[in-house]
Amino acid sequence: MNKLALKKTRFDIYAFSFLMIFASLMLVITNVFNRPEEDLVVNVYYEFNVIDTHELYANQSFVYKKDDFPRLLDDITLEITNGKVRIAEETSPLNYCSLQGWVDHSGTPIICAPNYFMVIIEERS
Amino acid sequence: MTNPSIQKITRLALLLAIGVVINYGEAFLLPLAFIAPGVKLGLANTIGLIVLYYYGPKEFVSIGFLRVVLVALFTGFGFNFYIALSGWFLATLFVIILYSIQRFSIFGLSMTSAVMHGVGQIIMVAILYQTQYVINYLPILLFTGLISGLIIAVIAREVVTRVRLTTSLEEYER
Repeated sequence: MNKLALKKTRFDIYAFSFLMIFASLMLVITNVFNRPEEDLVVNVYYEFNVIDTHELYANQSFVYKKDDFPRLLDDITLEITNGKVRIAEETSPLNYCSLQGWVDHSGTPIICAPNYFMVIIEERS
Repeated sequence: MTNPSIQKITRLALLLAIGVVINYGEAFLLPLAFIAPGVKLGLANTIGLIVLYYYGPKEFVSIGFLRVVLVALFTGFGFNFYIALSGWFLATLFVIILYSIQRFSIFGLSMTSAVMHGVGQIIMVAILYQTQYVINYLPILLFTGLISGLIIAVIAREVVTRVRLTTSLEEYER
């Protein structure tokens, strides 16, 4: 005899309401803490460590070679143009990080999980 | 096939296999990553809910864990595996708690599972990268989790209703 109801209950409504309020609060909180900052740079992480820092307001392109970073699945091309950054080329099963496209505000990471590679716009420290 | 335990193992194995195929194939057939990294419908969770409905929490936990491990055999036991595992762990924990309370339906469980899966993934990424910035993805994952959780609940409900309403699979064979 199963104990899982198939018809919605009022507790489902409570759960939905709670989760909606929680999601909305998180949206407000992340936007409040995401104020534009002045001195921004692009930090590049490999295996959870910062390996490079690039100026955000410069047109430049960088290639991270598999030969230098063995856990990359293949070479990764990073592009920075007029205050925005993207992963232009990479190899991964689902290509999440190149599909993400341009990111132009601080705090939103571009994560290439299978490559142990992450790019994020951060305040210069 | 008359031995009930063999029947049960066989059916659970079939459900697990379906779950693995759906889990692996969904990313290619229904790519939603353009919304945000990690966003997906989570169709394989319908299998989890079906297992929970027909067999109970122990089997639900086992099949869920095995699905994560088996999918990792295809995709590798790297970074993605830890993210999937943490998402599964938090989602399963909350589903078991809500299931034991016996006040929530398949809708409440599915919504909570989808949302907590996203939260678990974010926590793991934040730990591994030691950055709080990934929290910016949380609202997107919460909202999409709510919607996908509802869709998954509808699909799972339709499946268990059409297979046989409120009867066990053993009775269905008779």
